[in-house]
Amino acid sequence: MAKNTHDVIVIGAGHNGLTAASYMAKAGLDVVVLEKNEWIGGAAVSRELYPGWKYSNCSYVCSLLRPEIMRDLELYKYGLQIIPYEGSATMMRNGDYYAHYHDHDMTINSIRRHSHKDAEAYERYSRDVLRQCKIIKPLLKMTPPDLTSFKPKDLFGALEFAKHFAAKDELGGLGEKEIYDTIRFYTMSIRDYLDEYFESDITKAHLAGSAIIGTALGPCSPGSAYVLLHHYMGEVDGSVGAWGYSRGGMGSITKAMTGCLNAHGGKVKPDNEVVNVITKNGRAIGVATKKGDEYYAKKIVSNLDVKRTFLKITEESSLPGEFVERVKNFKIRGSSGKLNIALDGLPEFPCIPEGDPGGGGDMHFTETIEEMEGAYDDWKRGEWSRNPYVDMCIPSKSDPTMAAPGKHYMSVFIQYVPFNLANGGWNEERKQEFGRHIVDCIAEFSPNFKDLINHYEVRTPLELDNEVGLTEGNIFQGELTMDQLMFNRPVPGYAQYRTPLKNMYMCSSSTHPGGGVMGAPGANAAREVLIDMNIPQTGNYY
Amino acid sequence: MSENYDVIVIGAGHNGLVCANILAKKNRKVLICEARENCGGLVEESITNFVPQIPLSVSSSLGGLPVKYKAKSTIALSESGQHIRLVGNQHIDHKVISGFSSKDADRYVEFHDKMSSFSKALGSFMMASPPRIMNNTFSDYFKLFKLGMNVRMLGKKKFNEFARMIGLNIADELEDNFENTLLQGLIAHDAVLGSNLGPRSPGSLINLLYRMATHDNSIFGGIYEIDGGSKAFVDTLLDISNKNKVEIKTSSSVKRCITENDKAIGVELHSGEKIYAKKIISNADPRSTYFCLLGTENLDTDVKRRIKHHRSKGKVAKLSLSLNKQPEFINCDKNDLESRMVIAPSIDYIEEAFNPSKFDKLSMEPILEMKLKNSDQSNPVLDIQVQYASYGAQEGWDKIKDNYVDAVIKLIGKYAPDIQSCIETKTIVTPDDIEKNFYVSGGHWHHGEIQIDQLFMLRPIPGASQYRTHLDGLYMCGAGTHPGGGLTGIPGKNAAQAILEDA
Repeated sequence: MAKNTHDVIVIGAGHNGLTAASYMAKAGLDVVVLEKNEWIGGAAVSRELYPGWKYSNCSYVCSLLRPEIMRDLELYKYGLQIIPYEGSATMMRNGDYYAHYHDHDMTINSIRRHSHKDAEAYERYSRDVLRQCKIIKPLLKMTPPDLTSFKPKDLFGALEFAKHFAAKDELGGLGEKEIYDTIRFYTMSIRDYLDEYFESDITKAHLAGSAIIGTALGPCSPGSAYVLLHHYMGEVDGSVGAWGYSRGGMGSITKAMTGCLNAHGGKVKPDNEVVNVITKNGRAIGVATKKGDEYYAKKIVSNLDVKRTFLKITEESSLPGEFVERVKNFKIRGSSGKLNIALDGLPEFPCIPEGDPGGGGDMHFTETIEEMEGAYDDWKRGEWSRNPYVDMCIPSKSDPTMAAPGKHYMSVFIQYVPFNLANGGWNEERKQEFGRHIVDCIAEFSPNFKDLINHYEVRTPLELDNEVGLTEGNIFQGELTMDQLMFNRPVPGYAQYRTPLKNMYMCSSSTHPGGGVMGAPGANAAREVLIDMNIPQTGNYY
Repeated sequence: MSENYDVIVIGAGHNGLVCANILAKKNRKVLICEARENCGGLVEESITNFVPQIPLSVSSSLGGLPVKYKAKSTIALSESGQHIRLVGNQHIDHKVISGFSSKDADRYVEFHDKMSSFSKALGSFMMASPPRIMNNTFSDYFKLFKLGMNVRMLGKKKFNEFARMIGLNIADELEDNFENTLLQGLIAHDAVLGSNLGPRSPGSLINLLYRMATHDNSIFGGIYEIDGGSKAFVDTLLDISNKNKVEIKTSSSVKRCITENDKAIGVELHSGEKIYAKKIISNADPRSTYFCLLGTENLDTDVKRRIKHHRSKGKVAKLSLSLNKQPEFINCDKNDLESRMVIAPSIDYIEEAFNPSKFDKLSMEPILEMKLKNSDQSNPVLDIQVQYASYGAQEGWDKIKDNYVDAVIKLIGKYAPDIQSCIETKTIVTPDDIEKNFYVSGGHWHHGEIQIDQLFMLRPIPGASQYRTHLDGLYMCGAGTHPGGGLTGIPGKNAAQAILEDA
């Protein structure tokens, strides 16, 4: 039995774990990252599951990754390249299409084809949403203050939060009207929100997609407007709200992070599943792996979601009962599935004119919010949606490294797929039935699609849970609802990356500011660890 | 130009009457213009089923309100006859629920205590005019501070819990706590009652807290019937108005507000008559107030847009069945028939009833709250509140009304097999009817959804939250203002205070 001692152990080599590890290694600590899988990257991976094709088989597009983190960790130096895409489109059953482009004026013209009023309203809409993005951005980097504490740190933190909102407009804060708008944005449903701007179904349906991806909310559920914001607050090359592909698949992000970590003396050990956190007198002192090794460290940082961290690898008896109860009731619901498809050629989508950049990014075929809500109603009943919301893209169009010349890789994200399927749960047969149904749905819009399919991988929330370790397959490691955001995330009173166990921290998407390939939870957690160890921090992020 | 009155109140709903009387007691000369023949607005047998008690602060500012209430218990009907009967008393309810699950019983008491302390913390805030965030007035900051302190004084644990609960949906909380689906359904029913939310919609929990704050901080207590019915209640208010020399003009609907120099100075009736006053108060809903009384020409685009999107689609219809004998509800005794009977067997059931209503369609298996009137006489009446009966139903109310009524009766038939044979006549009042007959846009009980973005300082719309509108001299006192609907009189009282402050 080997004994290893380090400064810090990070459990899980997902992008947040690697971000946290890299920051700490950069600060001079001896860091080891233990990963259960044979590959590194968690849900940000590129895997060759079918010879000749690379699949970004979990997360598939990039925007939210904080630019400060990219600079601090010099990810470009370690091979990361983001290719922005030019547009997105919704195909319509009448043969028409609706597209948004990287270029604002082109978008306006495109909307005008469907509704003049909407084209005008879009100016107002994009200004308002951008404003909300700007407001939230500094908050992502903050450790949420503990509102119940009277410690100077928390009082100042709360003040900082309040100041941010309440300062006079001239001072960069918000005016009274805007505070009200912000409150409304955080609590409304996306349907009600969009109704205030737009009239045509197709505009609303195209925009509402961002508000339901990954969540167990429908477009009519209050709180879904925030989810839209969550997907908008990223940027590619300084262009706010833009999305792009990571060259070589999403695995390139975690590969670059690993590069940074290694360069600073840190190590990732794949195939080392942590099964137990070793505690002594209420302190975490080390971890035990499935192989039987024990690792000891001054600080333990868990990149597993809060449920896995405290219900699976930590002894319940070492935690306060109330905390365990809260963790048990943490809402983490699988609502999405995925198809990764190897294609022998580029499928035709006759709705979208050839060469239209709208076809270069994400494509959809949900035409009304009512359809979307219907898909959600299926999910509530424990069924996968018969008429699902689909977010599909063909990264190989702009990134030749994903497949051989002439061949293409297609990623199809499917919104609403339950983790607990009604009437007996998932099995191989039902999984394949689900896959076939999605292929049929796509084939409706692409006559040659079925003939081009060489291989496809079906992923239900079950696979995401088992393989990547996302509980119930929730891509945000916890629902992004009001009761689980900011100082409530993951558990009220433990929103500052610390846990009831001394020396143990959380850095997963279960913590503020939440999911997406963002890196902010990892960077924030690293900051808290460094503060506790009295190590000065450097970098653009802090 | 002569000013005949100090104040004109538009609409003699209960809030209008409360507001008028408080002002009259302060020696204002008050006139109420009511469009309908009768006063009382939605406080009428054909709309109201059960009511909360008027808060002491309201009745005392009226100099006492001699109305007698009869407390009602609640029974959740189950097809199997395993009904749950709750009275709002912790000890009795605990015992009742233990009959189904001892775990649930203990949890219920805990849950109730928690909810009750939260609704109390909200309560004081609900009684007063809501503060505006950046009004830069000391009293507003103090109010905000007080609310913060109220919640903070609950203690660290409860504070955290409260912060979590604001955006929570009721279904999650109930499923975390209870195993009995009937109990879950019953509590969820009360959380979504009158709203446009399903039990799985975030925000449905604060809806329940909101309801509790006016219902004696209790989930199943604080539910009353007025002795003598709502007519007795309205008559009492009219007596007081008489005493206070409030003039009431019925059948005189107001066409518009007369303005001069951007100030409201009077009203013009549909008959053409013009009446002038120093202040005008509208008891109408926000949309009617802004669009009809103020007129779109007086609004800037931002305000116009906000009012246009103010959500006020009613979801509750009232079905009255007059019967020739008392129906036999399975496994129910006389006492049960006198309580508030609820048909909402589970969260999933309610959610399914809610699903079609999101797009203004009707579910043929709705949720019901029933009251049997004159149960000891030969001609009892079954009053049924049917939710989610959407305003402006896609199917068209004219076409579907009869089918819908039949569906509701069929549903009741599952619990009272002989109901069909007892029915003499049936009348249904849909939200569309409420709009037409009571001049409430959307036919919404609360004159606007109770959801976070339309509550507190955002009610009815940002910038008009303290009972003042965007027009000088025009005020609002209806359910569309803070804290919302229900037979409480608080909006009326608060509005009167706002006017007295400005004078």
